[in-house]
Amino acid sequence: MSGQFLNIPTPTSGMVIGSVIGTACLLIVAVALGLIAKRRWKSYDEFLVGKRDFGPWVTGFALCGAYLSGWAFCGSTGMVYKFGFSGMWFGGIWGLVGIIPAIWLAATKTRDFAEKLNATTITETLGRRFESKGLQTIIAISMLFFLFMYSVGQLKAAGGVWYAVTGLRPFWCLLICIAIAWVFLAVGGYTGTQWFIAVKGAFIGFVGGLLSIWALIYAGGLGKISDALMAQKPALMTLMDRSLPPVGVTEVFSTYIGIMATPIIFLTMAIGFPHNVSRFLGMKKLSNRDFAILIGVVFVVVGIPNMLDCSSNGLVARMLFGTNLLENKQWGADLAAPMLSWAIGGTGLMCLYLTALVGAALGTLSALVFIMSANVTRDIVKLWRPQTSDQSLIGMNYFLIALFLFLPFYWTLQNPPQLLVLFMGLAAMGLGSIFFFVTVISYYWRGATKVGAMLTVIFGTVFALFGGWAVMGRKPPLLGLGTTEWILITGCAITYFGGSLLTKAPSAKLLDKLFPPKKAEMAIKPGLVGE
Amino acid sequence: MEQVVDPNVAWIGWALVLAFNLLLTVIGTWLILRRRREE
Repeated sequence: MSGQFLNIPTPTSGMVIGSVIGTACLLIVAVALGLIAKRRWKSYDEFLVGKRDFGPWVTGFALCGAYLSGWAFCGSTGMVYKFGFSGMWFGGIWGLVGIIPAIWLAATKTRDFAEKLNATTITETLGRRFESKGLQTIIAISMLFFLFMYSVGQLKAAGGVWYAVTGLRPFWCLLICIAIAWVFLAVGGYTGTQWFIAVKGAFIGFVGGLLSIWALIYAGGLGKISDALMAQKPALMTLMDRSLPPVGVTEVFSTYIGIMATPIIFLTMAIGFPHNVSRFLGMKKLSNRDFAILIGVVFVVVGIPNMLDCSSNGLVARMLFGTNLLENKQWGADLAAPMLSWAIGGTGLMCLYLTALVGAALGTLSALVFIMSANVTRDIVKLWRPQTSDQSLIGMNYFLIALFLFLPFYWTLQNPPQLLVLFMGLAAMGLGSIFFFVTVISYYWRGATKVGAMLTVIFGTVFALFGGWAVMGRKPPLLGLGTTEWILITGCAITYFGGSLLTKAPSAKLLDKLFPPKKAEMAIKPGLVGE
Repeated sequence: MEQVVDPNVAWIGWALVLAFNLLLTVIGTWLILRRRREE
């Protein structure tokens, strides 16, 4: 290790006690919210979607909480620490403009469609929008598959960083976390989950913003960062680092095709992720003022930390630690953000950061697990066996929540099978590409059909699996990550629009209910008013 | 061949994309709010 730079500190009793107290406080809040939320649902439908009365503040913070996963909060800084500016700057900034269009395009429509169709999940909304039980089942299976892959990696960074910072094995910390998550998911239902994710979103937005601004001030401004990194390795200060391999994951840092793919990846992920869009299911009807508040909350909470996590935070960490963190073979660049918090703010800021990271991982995992369990109970069991009692479905949900929480926990402690690792790589991109079309475009295009949607789900699922192998499994890689994204999104567009144009749309009665004529059109055709 | 690096290019590029995104967010939101009022 170079003595010129800081090294990973040896855990002190202050770090251990601070981290344990911080995490314990977070978990106490989670249990309390779950218990309060228990009083707010009486039926299976209310368990799944609450009373559809959440305002813009809770919805906004919950959207931030679902979107800011452990990776967004920690992994993006690690990327920039390792690869320099070319790492994430473009995608990071577009991440902001990805989540805001999710509100523009999906907030009001998700709420309205779900209410008109009396649906409690995104999958059920889509099944009814296309009048197809078969499509609802296929979407449920595909969503379950992708969310499962995506959920496996959620606890990994938090568990690793916990161990590196406190020196305590993550077994007990993560086991207690998932037990608490079961309590607020099972007891609190959608309401408890929405509340917890909202609290977590506000908390990590605060910690992320604090760390980012503090780091910039500590480093002495942009000029000082440039000088320090130019002295280390000038390639760290390029927007596109051509010295990195042009295939595999590094394509997104080293070629125009790769860099231009990053906004598409971030945009489709933000808009297409079912755990993001699901935050709007329980929202009340928003006034214009409410809508502006919703945008403002997300802009402040996600915008500032996300932009700086993906640029200056990683650079300041590199400035302070050199390559010393990369010499830790087990956790490496994942330590960049927590070590940055220690370097600039001491034990106190590091404990705050670690608490936020555990919250980030747990919150996003909770959002995923709640959808996955409903995919099985509502979108498969209830759909095909409608006589199943609400009590049985709720009991089944309790069991599935426990199962879907346990598996990521198990694979955080034990290395997941190699095949699973490959599929995990492109799960987020697959989810984003498929559901950008199948969910959001279907809110606006009357001509979308169940065949178009079904073909998109099948193509996206198969190609995302192939892409995982081609980009990460094969040595040397067959494709770059950016090229894979372009093929994925183009293929989904062709199957969605092509399949829809060639087949029959749902009944006119349903479409008229979902796509009522606008006021201006009604003024031109007064006869429509009475219809 | 080694790249010639000017760090100012990186910061200017970063700031331009950031400014563009912030502008897009404000204009997009204003347009959506205007449309909602019309509806």
